[in-house]
Amino acid sequence: MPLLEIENLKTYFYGDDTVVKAVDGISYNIEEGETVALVGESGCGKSVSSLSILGLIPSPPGRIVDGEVRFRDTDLLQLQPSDMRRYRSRRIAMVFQEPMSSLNPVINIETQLTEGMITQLGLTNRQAKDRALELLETVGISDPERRLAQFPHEFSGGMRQRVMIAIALSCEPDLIIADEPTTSLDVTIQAQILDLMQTLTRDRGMALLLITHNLGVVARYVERINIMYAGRIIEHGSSTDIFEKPSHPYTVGLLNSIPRIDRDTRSSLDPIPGQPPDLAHLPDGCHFAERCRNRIDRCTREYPQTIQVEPRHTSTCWVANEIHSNTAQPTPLMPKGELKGV
Amino acid sequence: MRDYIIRRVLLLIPNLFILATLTFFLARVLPGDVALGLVAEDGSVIDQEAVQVIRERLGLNDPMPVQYARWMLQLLQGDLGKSDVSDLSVVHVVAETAEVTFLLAILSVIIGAAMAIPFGILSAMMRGRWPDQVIRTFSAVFLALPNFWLGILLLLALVTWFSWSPPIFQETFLDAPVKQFQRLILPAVAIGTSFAAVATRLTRSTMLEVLNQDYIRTARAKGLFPNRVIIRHALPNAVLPIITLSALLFAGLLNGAVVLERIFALPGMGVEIVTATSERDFQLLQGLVLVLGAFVMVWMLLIDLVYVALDKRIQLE
Amino acid sequence: MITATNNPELSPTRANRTGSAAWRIMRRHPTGAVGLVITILILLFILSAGILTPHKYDRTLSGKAAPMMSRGFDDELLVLGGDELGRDVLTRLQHAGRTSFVIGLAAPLLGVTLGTIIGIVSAYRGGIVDLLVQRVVDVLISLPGLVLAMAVTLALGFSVWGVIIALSLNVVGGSSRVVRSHALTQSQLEYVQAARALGASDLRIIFRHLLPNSMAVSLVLFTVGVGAAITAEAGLSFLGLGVQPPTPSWGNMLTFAQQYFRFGAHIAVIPGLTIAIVVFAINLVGDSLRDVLDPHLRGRG
Repeated sequence: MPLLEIENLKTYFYGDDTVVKAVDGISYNIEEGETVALVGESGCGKSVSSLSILGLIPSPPGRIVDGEVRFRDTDLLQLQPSDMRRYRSRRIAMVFQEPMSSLNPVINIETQLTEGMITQLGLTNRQAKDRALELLETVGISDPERRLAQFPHEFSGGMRQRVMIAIALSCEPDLIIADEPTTSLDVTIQAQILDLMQTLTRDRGMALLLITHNLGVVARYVERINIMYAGRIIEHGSSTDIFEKPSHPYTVGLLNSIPRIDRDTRSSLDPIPGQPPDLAHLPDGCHFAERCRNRIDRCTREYPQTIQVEPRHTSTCWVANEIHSNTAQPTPLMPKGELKGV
Repeated sequence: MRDYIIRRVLLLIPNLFILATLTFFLARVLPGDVALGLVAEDGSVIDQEAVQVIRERLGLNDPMPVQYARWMLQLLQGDLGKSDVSDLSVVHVVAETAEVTFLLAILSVIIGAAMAIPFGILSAMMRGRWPDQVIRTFSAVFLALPNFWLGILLLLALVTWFSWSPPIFQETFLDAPVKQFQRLILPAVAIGTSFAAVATRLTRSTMLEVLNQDYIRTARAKGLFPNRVIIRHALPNAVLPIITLSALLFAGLLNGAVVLERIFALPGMGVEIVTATSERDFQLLQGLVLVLGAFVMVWMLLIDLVYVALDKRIQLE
Repeated sequence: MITATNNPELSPTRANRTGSAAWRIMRRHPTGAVGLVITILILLFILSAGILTPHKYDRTLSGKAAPMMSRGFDDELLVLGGDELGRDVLTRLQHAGRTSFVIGLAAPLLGVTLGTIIGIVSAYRGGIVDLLVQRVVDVLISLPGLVLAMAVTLALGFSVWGVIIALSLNVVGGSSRVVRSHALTQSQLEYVQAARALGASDLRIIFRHLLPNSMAVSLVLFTVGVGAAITAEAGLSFLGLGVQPPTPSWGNMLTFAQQYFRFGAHIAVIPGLTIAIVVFAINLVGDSLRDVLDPHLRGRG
């Protein structure tokens, strides 16, 4: 049984006379202790989908209109706010994109790190502080005693993200959702933070959902990948499948637009033309049709069905099988461990 | 940080200089002068000779630059001069009248803030729901009511139904705090409600801004109780801007005080300024306006410095 | 987005589009629309002075009616009763509205215009000019506006123009500060830097770039100023230092209210209520305008 199972989740934002379908019927799951990625361009709804899991959508204007989010057989969407509170950080913890603004500027690190444990685990102040010291050390912050008394503005961006990770780990959750955890950090720090998150969650048997716009970054960290486009998941498969046998034109486009060591260095990068569609005015048919090189007539009329191209590898495209057989040429194995995001 | 404070305090000097100059010209642009009034008070026909004598005595015949220089020199010695009419020292008059005005202003702020802060926070937390609608409607209505009219109506109601009229007495606050409070409370309510109307909106928008911040989302994601998110995480970030912005409304508050003092027959600086203006008591008028302006200036500076000192996020050049 | 509608190529059916845009804005901001309707109704009421009633605003009525301090409901002739001198309150309300509205519109217009120019120049020139101008603004902001206005009206001799100038001074300080801070961020933006690098003259940058971009801010300041000016005029005239009788204004109609209200509360209630309704309506318009024009606040509140 999966740890988390999301089914047909729909989160819409209601404007004055428009409805923005930020998340429009997505389904995926995460097994215990597994690392999964949710990949898509900014604005495709991936952050909204993760905030929906914990009921953190700003409402109004946002509203979850349909779907189920089952965490070990409990539908989180049916919970009363007071029951939902118990799941936050105790079962599912989050690490946000902006370490600069995600910590409260007027509260010291100690309080921000311990308050969750005190509320959720019922620790005393003393116990919580001891654990906080441990945690800071775990995430690689030296001199934790002094650091605890400091305020966020005394930390660098990378250091703040380490604090955020410590907060996420503090209540021993079963799942950590990291929403673009490294996007706003320096490239050199990015790998450090991702390595840290991977090691820590693996050691503790925690599942990790990594949300990113950068397919290259996640390559070496995750077991399975969900590709999201315009509010829906359009391809899902194991990391190897996605990289070696992409079966959706969008995924192919994403892979072509990142530099790869296993490719001929002389071949130029190939960005996807055009812009993602306006989520308030989605086209009929496939959302990607307008930008797609493999478009056929049917694509602009009907939204494609999800096709299983291999066991545990699906693509929502009318020509998925053709793309799959085209890309599934024998190529050198994906060089795990050397591929890094740029 | 230290440089910033020094800079701000040093800027006070040109500001006070400009204020002193402005008050001087503010008085001199008034048509006529005190001498005509002083003579006519005797009931006699205006005697040109007597007028000249008085003008000579008060130095009003000197050329404008000489009068200006005299005023500035006098100020440099820390002297506000004497009233042209009563011959009382201006400092004395200020001391007598400032208490009522500032007590009135402070009481109004307290009443206003006591309404504005809880209602503003409630309004922000309930955004779009009925408590928010009710609070916003009320603040829009009270914003539109002229506070002096509110004062008149309050007085009217009390006089009609309770045959009450504003007490007149000379004791200071320390001598008779209860009495003083009794006579100030109604005008303070009138000023306080219009202050609250503005401050409620201010509190609401500041609070909304804070509730939109990423760190509030973090706090909620930790599974804290909603009360703790509001009280421990949102409020401390909202309080400082709310207080700072409210403090900037203080000058406007004194406007209300000037008119309300008149309605409730309070012996304050506002009434004194109106009298001095109509009697062309230049020295007194200049002194009163200078003190009032300087007070507001120093007040705003202090608020600014407190803000800078407390807000750890502000990075100064 | 504002510049886009100025471009005729982008909006072929411009009149049509402006109309539907106005309609959409009205529907999205119903309170603003209500405020606008109330304001227009009151303007019509004021403009019908001399037509709606047969009375004169400055003439004591005598004879059968003997309306001195009569209340509306016990007087067949005068809908809103008579005042302390036996003049028709309704007629006076209309004529007073003219004065109050002229002042309420002219004072912030003058003040915000001056404030905008001062703010932009101060921000753009920077340096010593900015430093000096801001000192004067500091002083203007710290003085209670009523005190300043009192002296200026007296000096200018109590005319309507005197009051307008006096009250506009209250607006100059505050509005110049707001416009300055807006213009400061603008002048650091790339398009202004680019214009400067291309050798555009100062005047051109101010008139082509900074001024048009400050218009939204100035317009909001103006709307807020109208309500404030009507209230301030009332306060000033109430003290006897504003518009002088026999010219009626909503403020000076209240001057004697305190002495005579024992005989009829209507002379205190009616002018005050009128001011409140007008200011309320204008504030509603101002709030909606702010929502429409201020992109920072859009989608919130």
